Amino acid sequence: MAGNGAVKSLIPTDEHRNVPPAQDGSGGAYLDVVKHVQIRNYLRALATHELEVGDAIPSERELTERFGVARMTIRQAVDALVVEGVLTRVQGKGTFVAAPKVDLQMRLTSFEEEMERRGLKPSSRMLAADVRVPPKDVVDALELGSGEKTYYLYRIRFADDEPMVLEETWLPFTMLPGFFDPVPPASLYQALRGRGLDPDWGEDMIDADEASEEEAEYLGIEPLRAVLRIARRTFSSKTAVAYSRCVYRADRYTLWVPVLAPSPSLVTAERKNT
Amino acid sequence: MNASELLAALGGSENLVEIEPCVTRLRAVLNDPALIDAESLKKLGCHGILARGQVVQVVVGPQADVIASDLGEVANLTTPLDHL
Repeated sequence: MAGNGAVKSLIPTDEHRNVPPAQDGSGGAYLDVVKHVQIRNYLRALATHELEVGDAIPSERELTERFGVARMTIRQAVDALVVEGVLTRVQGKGTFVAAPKVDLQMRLTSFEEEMERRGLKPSSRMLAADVRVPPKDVVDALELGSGEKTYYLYRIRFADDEPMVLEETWLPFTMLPGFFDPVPPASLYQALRGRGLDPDWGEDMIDADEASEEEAEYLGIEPLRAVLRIARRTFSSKTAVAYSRCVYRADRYTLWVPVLAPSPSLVTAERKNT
Repeated sequence: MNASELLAALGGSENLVEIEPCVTRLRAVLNDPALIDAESLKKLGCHGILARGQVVQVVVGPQADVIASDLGEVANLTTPLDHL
């Protein structure tokens, strides 16, 4: 539990008033926007560096006085952080520091493996499991012939019994005889490895979006809350072995991406000399 | 992946201005992107083609680095050391 002294060290004294005055006389709205962003940044730093998980943040009244802004401006800043998953609001009790998000690295491991690595208990609820002819975009992603069938799985993935991800997966039917017999395997990657089709590379496409009503219900969040949509093609050497579309809760996941400088380009001699 | 065949499918060395490996993709700058032979690229084992303007990305898998340098060799491209 952070002491009051520690909290105070983060409180801006006059910096938050150093907003440049409006140039055209109509800058009132601009000033408000800046204030709300500043308060949001202040609260974010407070939540991540001063307070502990479960601690209450200062009351709306305290913040109103401290920053000299309208209650609406405070509420706007807090709302943004609740949606982001930094803070959590408990009806009738107040607003508290939320549990840290799960860092999500784009690599070729399964949900089970990723959760176990973080000390979280993975589980799944099957919504559908069958053999079907997939839509055309899936046919392309899996490099199938038209009319070719796939195994299809629709699952909710849980970490410590909390719904985290909604996942649809398609796998080529002819390549995997008896794959769902007697029941679909709990870990698809493990089952693929067992058949000598070790997933060894893939590509993820990541989009920001809002949850649909159905997705929100399965994920236990409000409709239109932010999600990450991740479509993955999984290959085993030259063969496409799985295609999945996952919906990750944006309030529980942070995407973690290692970045390196690229290999140099190769250019024509003429271009080199220009 | 055969570099000469790949080069031909990209429209030959006259068409290739620049090539850069990006982990699982080749990013190529072409003089004329219309000269790409998508069918041949697929037959050679490419898993997707994305074209915009003069830039074409071809999904080739984790061998992109090796494929790019092989391609650079047959197309007689050089590393722009002066850019480093």
